[in-house]
Order: sequence, then C-alpha cells, then structure tokens
Amino acid sequence: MMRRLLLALVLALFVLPFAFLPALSLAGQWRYPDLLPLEWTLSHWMGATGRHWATDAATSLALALPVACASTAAGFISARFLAWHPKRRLWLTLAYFPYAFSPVIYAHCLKYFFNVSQLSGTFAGVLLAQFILTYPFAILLFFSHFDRRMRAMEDLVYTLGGSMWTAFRRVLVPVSRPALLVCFFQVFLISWFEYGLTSVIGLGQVRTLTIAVFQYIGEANVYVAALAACLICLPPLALLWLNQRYVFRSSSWQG
Amino acid sequence: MIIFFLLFGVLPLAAGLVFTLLYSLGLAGSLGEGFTLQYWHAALRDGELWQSLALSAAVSIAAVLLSTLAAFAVLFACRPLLEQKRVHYLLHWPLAMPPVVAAFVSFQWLGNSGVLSRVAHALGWSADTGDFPALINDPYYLGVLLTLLLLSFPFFLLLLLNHYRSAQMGELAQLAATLGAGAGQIRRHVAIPVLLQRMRPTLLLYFVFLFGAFEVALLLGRQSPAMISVFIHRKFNKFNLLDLPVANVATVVYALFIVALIAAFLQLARDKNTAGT
Repeated sequence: MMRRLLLALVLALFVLPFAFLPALSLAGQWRYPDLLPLEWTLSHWMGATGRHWATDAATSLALALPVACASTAAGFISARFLAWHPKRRLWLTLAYFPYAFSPVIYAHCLKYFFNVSQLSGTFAGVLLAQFILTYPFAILLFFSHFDRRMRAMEDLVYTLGGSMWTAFRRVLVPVSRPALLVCFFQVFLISWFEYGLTSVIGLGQVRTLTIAVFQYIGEANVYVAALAACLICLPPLALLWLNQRYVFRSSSWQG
Repeated sequence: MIIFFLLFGVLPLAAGLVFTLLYSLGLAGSLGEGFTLQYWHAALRDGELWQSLALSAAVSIAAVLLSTLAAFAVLFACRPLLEQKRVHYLLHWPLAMPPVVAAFVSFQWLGNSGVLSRVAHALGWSADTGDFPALINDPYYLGVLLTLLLLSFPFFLLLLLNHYRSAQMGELAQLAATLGAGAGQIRRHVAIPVLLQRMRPTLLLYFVFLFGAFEVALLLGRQSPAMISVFIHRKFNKFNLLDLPVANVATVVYALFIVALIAAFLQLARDKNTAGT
C-alpha cells in the first residue's frame, strides 16, 4: 500500500505540471488565494496574442527542423570517419567540450565573431549557432554506433566491389535508421528547448517560444507564458507518444 | 570530414576561448591596450566570482546527490511497479519539460502567491502570502535546487532502472540471497555499489550540466551571488565596459573547470569500459 502511495506521489509530481500549464493558459482570472481559476477562457489562445504564439512557434520550428536535419546528417558522416580514425580518442575528447559547455557562456564566446560577420540578431546567425552547438552532440551520439560490426559490414561492401557512396546508401544508412531517428529527435528537442544561446546570438530579435516565455514572465503575463510553455512541451510529448507507440518498439538501439 | 569537424565542432569554441583569453589579458577587444594582468588580479580578488563558482558547485552537488538518493529510494521501494508499461511511460514525461518551462512552473508553484501557498492557505496553515516561506530568489537557493531536482530526479530514476536491467541485478540479488544475504545486505553490498559504479560517469557529466545551469538560476535565483552562468551573462550584458574583462576572466576560469571535469569524466568512462571488458 505504502509503495503504491509513494509511486502515486512520484507520478503526480511528474504529470501535474502538464495539467497545470494548460489550466493556467485557459484561466481568465486566477488570483491568490483561489485554488482554481474563477473563470475559463480561450482568449489567450484565440486573441491578438494568438497570432504571436503562432509566429513564435513557426520560428522555433523553422530553426529546429533544419538544425536537426543538418546536425544529424553531418554528425552521422563525421562520426563514421572520426570513430575509425587512429586519433579517435582525441576527436572524442574534443567533441565533449562544446557539449559540456554552458550554451549561454558558449554564446558569449562566439558573440564577437557573430557581431563581426553581422550574423548577430539574425535568423541565419541563430541557425548557425545552434548547428555549432548540436553538431558535436550528434557526433557523440553516433560515435559508439560505428563499432566493429558496422566496420565489418562496410568492408564487406568494398570486398564486393561497392564504393563508399554505395556503402553509405545501401548499408550504413539503412541499418542506422533507428539511430538516425533518435539523433534527429534529440537534436530537434535541443534546438526547440534552447534559450541561452538563442537569446545572446539572436539579441531578442529572433523570437522563439522559449524567448517568448521569458518575455511574457517579464511582462507578468503568466497566462500567455503558460500558453507558450504548453506549446514548448507539445512536440516532445508527441514524440514520446510516437516513440512508445510506433518507432522504437522493436528497436534495440538505445542511443 | 575531419576538417569539417575541426571547422564546425572545434574551431568555434577554440577561437572563442582564445579571444576571451586575449581580451582578459588586454590583448584584444575594445579595452585592449597591451598585455596586462590587472583584469585577472581584479577578477580573482573579486569575491563574487569565487562565490558564484562555490554556489554553482554546491547547488549542483546537492542536486545530483539528492536526485540520486531519491532515485535509489524509489527504485528499491517500487521497482516491480516501475516496470509496468504505463508507469514506465509516465516516468518519461518530465523529460519533455525543458529548464525554461520547469523554472516557470516552479515560479508559479513555489512563489508567495503560488499554488503551494494557496494550498497552505486553504488548509489553514497560512493566513496571507507573507506567511509562506520564500522559495523564489531565496538566499539558500531552495527554489533553484527544487527545480533542478524536478529535472534530474526522473532522469536518474530511468537511468537506474536501465542499469538495473542491464546489470542483471535480479540474478545478482538472487545469487546473494542464496548465499544468505538479507534484503538490506543485498541493497547495501550488491545493488548500490554495482549501480553507482555504472552511474559514475553520468553523474559527473550531469554535475557539469547543472554547474552551468542558466534558465532556472536566472528566473529563480538571486542577483547576488548568482550561479556562474548567470554571473558571466550579467557581466557580459552590463553597460559598464569595465565589466567585460571580468566576464572574460570568469569565462576562462569556467572553461578550465570544465576541461578538468571532462578529463575526469573521460577517465571514469574509460575505467568503466575497462572494468566491463
């Protein structure tokens, strides 16, 4: 009984924020000491702010999709070469540093170069900065994926007269499909969740959902901040459901 | 492809750090008037930098320790229940919450007029917002710590569950039981050492992430002392140009700290792999 109670408490702690955020975004008035909102409304979703969140979500998506595609592709190909290189340990060590660095401090280190190249405050600048941040992470994800078994498969292609292009197209990519999907989702989420680097390089002019949340909190507009927070959580929850339902049910790849 | 990696994976950080170092030595940037150590002297004598580093270390150590303890406690108390498909699915939900949203939720729950304060009022434990303890921007960083716990505890619980399975802990526990060990002894002498050994590199890496935590500390922490990433961010963003060299020195110190921690992480990971083979 006690175990079930403890588990129920833990699960409540995990799930309650996801019920609280939509409730707050639909609240018309929810002031202290009311336990529940006095009135419910769709105005935050449908009104003038509605157009803002749609634009913010579109900006977040327009950043996350290309960053996820580019980092996954570049990380996959790079990891293939780096993992089988004689200096693989050095490459692995170097790939860890950008990954471990706080993104906001990393952004301040990069800011001078982005200013000089006039990329600060632009969509392209944030896109490039996010690629620089996520590309080493993708390499780390794929590094252990390119093991002896993968090497043997690629060697077999060459033995049978295939080229490197054939090896990638016919063997490496098809057998790595689950790994590629996991990497794509993870990089997508890093970009989707990103705040520090985007705010420093974007100078507040590239308004993603995470930037919007902070801005709305600053304006004490908690209802719309909750709305933006709901939208941030939506794709990862959808991916989680998809993951559970379809994608990795039979996959043994753990990332 | 190695050139591409060096260009986009290594060069940006390396160039950024070299520029930061040169700036801190007066050799680059708007204040660069030739080599000087004055900024280093000023920054290292400034107690705020050390306070920020110590605060970041203390908060991240506390978050990692408490999350690990909580994860072990829940694992041992509820493991068969945690294996159920629906429960296992729900355990993943907090991973869908980024630090920005977690900070916002904590802001709404832990504040003086937040959800917990309202519950306390409804239960008759507090008469007004002032009766509720300050958990946001509080001097002990409790709000930050609780939020980081909310973020790290689910991750550690899932990690422990995975390690429990991959280490075939069930079989090991059965073996220990046939040799006469009790449930407590199995936990203390078999399960905890084996699982901790497997978790060590991840714990260290997670400590590194929490050490540089930004969004949670920015929203829920204090202005001074601030956690290191907030401290550096504020110094870079101040209008006073003289704060820039201090920000650069702090960045170099932070980078040195990260280099040392990553070296330790790679050593631990190597030890783990050696032990595994």
